[in-house]
Amino acid sequence: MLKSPGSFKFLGSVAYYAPPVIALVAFVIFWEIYTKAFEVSVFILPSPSRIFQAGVNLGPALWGHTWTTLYEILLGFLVGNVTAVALAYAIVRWQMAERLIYPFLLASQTIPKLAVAPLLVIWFGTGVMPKVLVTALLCFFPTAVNVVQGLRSADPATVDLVRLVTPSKFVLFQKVQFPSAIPYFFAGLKISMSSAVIGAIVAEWVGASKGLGYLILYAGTSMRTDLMFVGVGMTVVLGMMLYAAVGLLERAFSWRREG
Amino acid sequence: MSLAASEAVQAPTAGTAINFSNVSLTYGAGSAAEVQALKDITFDVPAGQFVSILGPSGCGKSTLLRLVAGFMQPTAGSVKVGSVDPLNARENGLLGVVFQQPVLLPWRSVLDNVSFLLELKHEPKAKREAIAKNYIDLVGLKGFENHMPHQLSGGMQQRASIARALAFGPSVLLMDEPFGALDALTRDRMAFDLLDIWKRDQKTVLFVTHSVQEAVFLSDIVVVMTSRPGCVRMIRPIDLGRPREKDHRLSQEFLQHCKVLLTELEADVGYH
Repeated sequence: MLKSPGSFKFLGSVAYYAPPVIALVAFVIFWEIYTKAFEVSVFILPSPSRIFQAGVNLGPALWGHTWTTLYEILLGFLVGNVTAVALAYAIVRWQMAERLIYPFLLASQTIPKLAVAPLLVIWFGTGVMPKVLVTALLCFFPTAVNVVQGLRSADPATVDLVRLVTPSKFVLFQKVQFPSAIPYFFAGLKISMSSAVIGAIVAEWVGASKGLGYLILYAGTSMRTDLMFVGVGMTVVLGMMLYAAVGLLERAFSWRREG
Repeated sequence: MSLAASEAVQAPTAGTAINFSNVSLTYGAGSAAEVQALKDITFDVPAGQFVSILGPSGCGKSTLLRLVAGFMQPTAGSVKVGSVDPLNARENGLLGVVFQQPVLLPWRSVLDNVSFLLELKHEPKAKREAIAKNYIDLVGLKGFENHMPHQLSGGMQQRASIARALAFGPSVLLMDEPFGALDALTRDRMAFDLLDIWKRDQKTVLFVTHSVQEAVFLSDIVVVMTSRPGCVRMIRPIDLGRPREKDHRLSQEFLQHCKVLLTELEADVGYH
């Protein structure tokens, strides 16, 4: 019997994802064998099975840490990107805003985030607030820069075309500038999402009692290398899933799908 | 010279669609970097006729179109569309523009691009789509309504952009080197089709080009411009009759027109 086109499609995507998956599996197996064969100290490099066991032993606590960090990332991401879009719109709309905001925008990027994190802890305590702020500070810049560029990417001739019919700046924004900026916005969001993960972890290092960053720091100070790997591994998985989520949003809402 | 010539061609027509009267345009007036782009331009574009502005790059022919569209104001003299100024004409939807590039919105289908200007005018969806479909047929894009711009060739994109300009229902069509970005074969084909469209959809056309053959083939009147500062050097009626056929381009009269116009152009540019 002939296979349906659906199963061909499925086989196609298996073929597409197979090489990296096989490579990953091979790497983990090699790692396992290496640590066993050379009797590498657990303190230096725990084996994958040992790391997995440490994660299982943590049990619900691991989900708690993950949930805390996820919450901080998403909240910081939201605050950072809403700010970014608002600033970008102001910069494009009013020349004065550009002169006023741009220097501070650039300055905000030269601030060493890890160094100001303690200050934020002094101001806002060890709760969620300082983590959200550091995350927002880290992830708003890529979006802001991309959206400014996107809003300005409209062809001047297209602007003339709209002016031929209406002088309205709002119509120009709604029908030309806004749609032009969407692919740029998503390009910014992707970079922003990877920055957000770093932001939340770094902020937890300074003062926290839960979260994956806290777990990594705690494991380090108590010489639990296996737990460190659990924290780092979980962060990587979380980061990749969030990045993929932005990619799905892009596919659903952005128009540049050709090529 | 230009005055006399323009009066001569104006006489037998029904009315004047565009009137340039002593139009000058100076950039940075009063400063050291003062540049005179246009100087004392005077001519009329009779209603319903196809008029080309022929000139070398940088002679200000596109600037002249921008003045008609009201995107720029002259520093002296006046531009009138019918009896009103360009901004007024724009508000009344008298003007259509086709640019050198198609400038289609890449996130909209052909149908949505062609009906775009009507959408900005708040025409109801059913009405604007009916109008757009009509013009999509007219420019030969039937069946491509739902294609995206990137799926079309350069020539087809430019057809869509012409359909968009016509669907808006202007009485004057301004075309700024619309075939300049196309290859030679497509360009010839588009010239034929443009005349076909123009015949069915009688509008005044002001067409900017630097191709002598294209100007002669398409036009009732060719206005030759020279550069630095841009001014009118010759206004030549092209009495080849219509409809224009392929064979026109090999006729003695056609070549004679080309020769005269080319001589005027070369006198300005110089042959090196």
